[in-house]
Amino acid sequence: MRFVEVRRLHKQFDPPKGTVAVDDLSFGIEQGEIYSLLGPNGAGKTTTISILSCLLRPTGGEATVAGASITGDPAAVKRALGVVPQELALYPDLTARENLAFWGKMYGLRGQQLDTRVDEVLALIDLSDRQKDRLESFSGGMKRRVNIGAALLHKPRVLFLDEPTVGIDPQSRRAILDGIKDLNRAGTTILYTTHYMEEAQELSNRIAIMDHGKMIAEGTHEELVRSVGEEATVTLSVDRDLDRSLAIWCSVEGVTSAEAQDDRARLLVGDANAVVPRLFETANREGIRITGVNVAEPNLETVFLALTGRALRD
Amino acid sequence: MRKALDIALKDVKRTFRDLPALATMLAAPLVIAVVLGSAFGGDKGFSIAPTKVVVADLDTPATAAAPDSGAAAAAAPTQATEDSTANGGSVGSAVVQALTSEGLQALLVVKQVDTQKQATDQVDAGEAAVAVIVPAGLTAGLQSGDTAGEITLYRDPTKTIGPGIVNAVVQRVIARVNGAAAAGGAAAQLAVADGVTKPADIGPLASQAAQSYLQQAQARPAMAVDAREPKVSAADKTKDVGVAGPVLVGMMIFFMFLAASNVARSILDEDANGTLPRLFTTPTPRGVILAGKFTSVFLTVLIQAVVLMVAGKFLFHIDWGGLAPITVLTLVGAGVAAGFAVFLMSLARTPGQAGAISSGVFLVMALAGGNFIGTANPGGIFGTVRLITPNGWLLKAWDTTLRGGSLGDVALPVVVVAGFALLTFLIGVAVFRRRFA
Ligand SMILES: Nc1ncnc2c1ncn2[C@@H]1O[C@H](COP(=O)(O)OP(=O)(O)OP(=O)(O)O)[C@@H](O)[C@H]1O
Ligand SMILES: [Mg+2]
Repeated sequence: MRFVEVRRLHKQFDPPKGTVAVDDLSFGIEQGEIYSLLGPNGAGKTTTISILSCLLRPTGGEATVAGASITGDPAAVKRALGVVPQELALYPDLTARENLAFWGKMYGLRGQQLDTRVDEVLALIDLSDRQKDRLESFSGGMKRRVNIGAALLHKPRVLFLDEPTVGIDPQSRRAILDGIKDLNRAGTTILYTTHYMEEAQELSNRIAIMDHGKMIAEGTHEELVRSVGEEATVTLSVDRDLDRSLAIWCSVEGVTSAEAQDDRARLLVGDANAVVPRLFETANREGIRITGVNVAEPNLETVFLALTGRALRD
Repeated sequence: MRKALDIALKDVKRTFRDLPALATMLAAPLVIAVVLGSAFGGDKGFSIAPTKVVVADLDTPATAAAPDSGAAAAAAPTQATEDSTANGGSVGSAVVQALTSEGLQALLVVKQVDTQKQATDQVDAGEAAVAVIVPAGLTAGLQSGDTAGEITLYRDPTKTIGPGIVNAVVQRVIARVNGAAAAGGAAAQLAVADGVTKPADIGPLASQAAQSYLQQAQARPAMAVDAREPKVSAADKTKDVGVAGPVLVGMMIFFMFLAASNVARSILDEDANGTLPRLFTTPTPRGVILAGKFTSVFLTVLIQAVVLMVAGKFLFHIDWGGLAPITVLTLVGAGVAAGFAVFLMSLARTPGQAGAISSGVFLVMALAGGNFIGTANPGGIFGTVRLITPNGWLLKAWDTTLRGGSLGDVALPVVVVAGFALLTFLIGVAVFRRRFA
């Protein structure tokens, strides 16, 4: 059995008529892995996390976390688990230290052990020097870090992080992503949700793409990208003669298709690095002036688009 | 269970960091006791230099808000029947009227200005200790029910007592208005139950109900203490109790209920802002988490009661009575306040709803129970009516204790109040357990 095992999970709010937020979802996470759920708003990521952390009851299916059933033995699940909720869930009128100490106590830590862990976590989230300040005086990024820290005090074996980088500056985001990698290196199994494909790509061993409560694809980043073909898209703008340009480029070596799209030429090419210089050469020879160029290597965005016909971000 | 206590202590810490909450819990009852005490013609010790207050009543139409509207507003309630926008009907004029009421004249000097800026400027310049700003359209917003308005107190941070009085007075007006809003809501519901379905028909009904509630409340203002002397029945013990004790007890019980509902509301707050769900993801049983929240309500009002009693002893030289009865009365008093607060919160869906329900209910209970006339037995039908409420029983018991009664003398009220506490608490716990199951 995998470390986190989800089998045919189903959740409908207010049955029989309410939203089906999770629909026949199955996946497994190996111990020591970072596994991402990637999906647009409303895909059912938070609902999945809430079910796995025993906050919501599933309307169907079963799941185990660290070997314990979420319905049969929620207490064991909760002991193994740290949960970082999507929305900040902290006390703004308590200091950073008091917040961490409180959540540590809720995980059963006391006395010297608690103090030591609070110190360690404060150092980890780089807020030791602000520990005596109330949270209400913190920046958004600092609060996010405390929000994560509060789930780490008991050294959970599994960590669920629900979009922990939403709405913060690039620098704090960098710090958070690096921190997550460190935790994983130290042995924590991680379930991460996001709607940023770059994050999923950078962090995860494996990625599940979710849409409307269903998993529509799963695999490593490379597997997913390969599944929709390896061709890059080159988009070229020309000052005139678009039709003639298309006809010429069509026969350039390495171009598999060429079509006009919004007054620009959209080409699918095998290896953009080799093909793009050739396109410029031909254009030069034929007296065509290129005014703009864009190369898009295939990525998760392309995968999502290919599978759903929609963009990942609205 | 340790974790329940950790949760409770965390809440107590948060409450004691919340200055406005502290002012309502501790300063307001003391200050109002002073005010009421002097209305009773009591101790000479009650004297405070008058505080300068500026009011920018942007809510009441300009014609009604003449600079000397104190007297005009006092006569207003009758004309409000004719025209709901007249000064008698607006929240702004109710605030002005309350601040300029007779009992407060020795304590507050009220001046009205036309704009928010003028008001805050005066505070900044040190010409007034506190500015009260009633925003334009507050009454209209409340009547149409779609905006939750806010009255702003802008205060000189170096002054405490004066702004404390003003805060307490404004709180009372707000409680009354919330009651009116509740009455309006109830009327609308009754109308719907009776088959009225057009929104255009329901609106006027609701605003009518709210209006008449306001007028009744104004006709019978909570602080109009028609200078009744404490009546001592033959059966009572005959120690002379003075005025401070009875008055402070009345205020203390009323404000214990308010404080309890404030803390109990944090259950709903924590649910809304995610910390309660987060608690549910920790290995802490739900029963323990709820027990912690309930303990924090009880603990907070218990601390509040002890502080007020100690303050009463040292500030007003109140002799509270025998240790046994005052301990038991304090405990059951805190218990019943916590029980009622938990019960009322369990009926509400949102923190906003909870605030409206609880301040309305507690004000009615305090009016019926006689909290604003001290512990004196008012006699007649009112003496019976007040025993519908735990407030009435508590006041009766405290009256006995203040007169030197023993634990045995207050046994019946103690049992009744404990019954109230247990009943409301159990219902509240049952509802919450079901909601968070
Ligand atoms: N408590 C609830 N009651 C009813 N419907 C809900 C509830 N919570 C979520 N939903 C619905 O379930 C669906 C999935 O929501 P969920 O919050 O799981 O999405 P998400 O993937 O986390 O989205 P986001 O990226 O915006 O956080 C949505 O359609 C949402 O409206
Ligand atoms: Mg979400």
